[in-house]
Amino acid sequence: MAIKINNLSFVYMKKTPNETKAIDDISLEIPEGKVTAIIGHTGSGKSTLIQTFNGLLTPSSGTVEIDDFVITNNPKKNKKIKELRKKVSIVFQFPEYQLFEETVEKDVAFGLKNYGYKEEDAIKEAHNALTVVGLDESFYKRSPFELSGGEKRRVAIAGIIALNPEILILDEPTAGLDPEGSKIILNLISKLNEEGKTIIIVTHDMNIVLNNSDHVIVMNNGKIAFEGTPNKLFASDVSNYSIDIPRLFEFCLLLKEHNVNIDIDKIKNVDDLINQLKERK
Amino acid sequence: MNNLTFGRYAPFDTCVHRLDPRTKIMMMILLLVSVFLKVNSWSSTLITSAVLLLFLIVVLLISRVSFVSLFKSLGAMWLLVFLLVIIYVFIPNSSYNPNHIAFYIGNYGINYDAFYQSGYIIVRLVMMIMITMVLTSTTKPMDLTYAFEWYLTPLKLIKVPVHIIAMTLSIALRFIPTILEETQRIMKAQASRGVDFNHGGLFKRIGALISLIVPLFVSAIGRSEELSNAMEARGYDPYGKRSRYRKLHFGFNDLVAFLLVFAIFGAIVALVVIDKNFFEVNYIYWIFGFNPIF
Amino acid sequence: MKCIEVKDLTYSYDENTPVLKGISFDIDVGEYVSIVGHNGCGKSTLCKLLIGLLEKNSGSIVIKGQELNQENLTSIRNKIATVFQNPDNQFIGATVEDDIAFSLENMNTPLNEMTQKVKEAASKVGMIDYLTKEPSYLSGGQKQRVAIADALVREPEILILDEATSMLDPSGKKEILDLISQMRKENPSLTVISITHDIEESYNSDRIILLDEGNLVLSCSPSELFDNRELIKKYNLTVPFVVELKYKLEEIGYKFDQNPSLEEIGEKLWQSK
Repeated sequence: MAIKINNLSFVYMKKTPNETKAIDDISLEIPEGKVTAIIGHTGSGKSTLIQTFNGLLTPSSGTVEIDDFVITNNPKKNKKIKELRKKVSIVFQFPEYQLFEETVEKDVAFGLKNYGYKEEDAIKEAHNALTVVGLDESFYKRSPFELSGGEKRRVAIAGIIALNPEILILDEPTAGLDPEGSKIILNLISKLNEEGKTIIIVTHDMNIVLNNSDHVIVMNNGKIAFEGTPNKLFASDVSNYSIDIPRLFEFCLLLKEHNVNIDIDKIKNVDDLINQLKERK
Repeated sequence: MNNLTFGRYAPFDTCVHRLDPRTKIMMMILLLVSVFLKVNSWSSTLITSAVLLLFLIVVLLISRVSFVSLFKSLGAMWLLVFLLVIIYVFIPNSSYNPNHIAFYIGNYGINYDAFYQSGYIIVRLVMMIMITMVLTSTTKPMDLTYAFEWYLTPLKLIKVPVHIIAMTLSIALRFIPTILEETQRIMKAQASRGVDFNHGGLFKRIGALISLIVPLFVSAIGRSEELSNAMEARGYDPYGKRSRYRKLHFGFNDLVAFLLVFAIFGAIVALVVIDKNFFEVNYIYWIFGFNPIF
Repeated sequence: MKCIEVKDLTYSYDENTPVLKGISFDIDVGEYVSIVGHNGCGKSTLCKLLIGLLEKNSGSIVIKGQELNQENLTSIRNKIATVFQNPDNQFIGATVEDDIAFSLENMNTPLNEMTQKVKEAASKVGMIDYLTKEPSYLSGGQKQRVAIADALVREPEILILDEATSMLDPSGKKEILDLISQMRKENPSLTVISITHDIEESYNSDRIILLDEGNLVLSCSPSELFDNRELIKKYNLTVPFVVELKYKLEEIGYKFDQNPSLEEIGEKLWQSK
């Protein structure tokens, strides 16, 4: 399932003095089966954009097409929205704040029960999802509130992937985690992508953009400022969009400047660079 | 969210905005008392209502309170208004003049006085709303707490922890927007897990509500702990001596405004005390142009 | 001169779960120390003990020659400013100016002095145009700048950062770290203790204290730590980019001096081509 966005606009607080255009007539397509990063500074419209993907926000004009679902500016027409939300799921920033059940397994099963799964089926699926996020049996009966920050986040993510969405959207999935916790989440995302899920990550972390994504969309003032591969983005002039080039890429550019023969389009992490240097040796 | 805009602080810079919140609270109390003073003779009632209504409209205009939001808040009260009319019309009341029957429903006579009484109540409700709206939309909530604390100061003599009450109140006010934002975020997160907050039977709705309220409580408790740590780390001692950054200032304008309102209040009290019918007009004529009874 | 002396400090929430198992360290005046370690290693508990939000089980904490106890808690606290992790939960005042004034009010500062100090601090952190703004109109980075302004008006001898940048975006993070280095430049005797997960930040500090399961396992300069591969491996630490690059290049046969900068590494590469 690809996401097709046609002339989408979104206006907050329409017809009030505080009217703000968060998304300004954009059209784009988010490729299927890839990891797409959406970046841009705070207030650039990226959070608004992803919320239109599963109908949490209704566009002011334009459409979002996903499969045979079409989200329009008429909320009454967007009938099968609940079905859509099962296929396109959002993991919000700090998702651990949405936990509320008394055990981990019940919390993960909660979404499934909303979609009419029977208790035991839901629990079974929940166990599968917990295995995917790397939490074993010992966690099933524990209270989600006594887990560490990283574990809570994995439980929250399990609650979403238990629904088996085809498109998984994550808003700042590593915010506030320690490096170890971040690594676990990012590996999980890669794994889900390899299993065929389309992934969209909203992030400020340019290392995630370089290391973990295939495609990047830069938002600026409600418009799309750039669309393409991360390597192309960092190689171009990014001074206008407050983007910090990752240290690795900066270093590669420096090497390139001094005529070291490397292919910067193929470098996603330090190992790629090392391998290229090794071959050259 | 939209229906919360009633009476919300509107950041204009009018002379009403600039008044000392203590003055405004005192004026509000005087005006509310004026509105609800019981005047027996109906001509006095007419005069007081007209004077107050006119005064309030002028104040609303000066303080740039939006009439649209006034009407909206009245719209939200239609059920109350409807019930009032029903109660006044259908519950027999010995004070109604038995000659003022408008029409009969079966054997039950509907009295004109009932309409008059309910109309009067509604006008007073409207005025009450106008008064509170002027106060809340021209005064920052935090300034209200300062004024509130000032009025409660005498209670310190009987060991009421006035400062702590005011601090608690101001922190609660400070966190309202934060918690509203959080509410929206959790609702969206749960909607992504298939929760429908707007449809479904009672059982489903209760389930949906629990999935919102539990996380809200958990996070509020976490917040309060962090907040108390931060306050303590910044040297806050509820029983210690503290200076104040915010000083309320009672100026010349406050005196003028207060005297004006006090004059209106005094005049109305005088009317109540005298309580004499100044002129005779049969209000039924006013409404219908003829008297269907006599 | 010693600023903080911690000796055999222990703390446990209940009998079975000791959080700090007897740690000792000294911090000099003007030092910038990072305290690092995985979640649950006890670093946040240590921070709360230092400002007296928790009471130790045993051991001692001496700050500027004064032993921390109930009697002198207030006077010691007045020497310390703390910036916490969550920007929202430490914003106490209704507006920026009220929040900055909060500490001054607590110190019973006269009004005219207060007004001046609030303005000074706000302009130092670049928030002078936001004095009357409410927190819901500010970004996370701006709120943390206000928290720094509050720390400034306290005129502290010790500044504690308890993961102060972990909830901010990269630009917010940079703003805060720049402000801190500016504060240190203006006041060289300011001691900074930063509890952090940000490895690039700790790489720039004078000293790293590594906690692991309630024990202090290491206290040394960043370059010493990142030069020691066994330690990095043993405690499963993330390393700064330059260190990672150096390690991996060494694995394929390059040789470097101790602690090369990125430029030095680069030079080696383009000279060897």
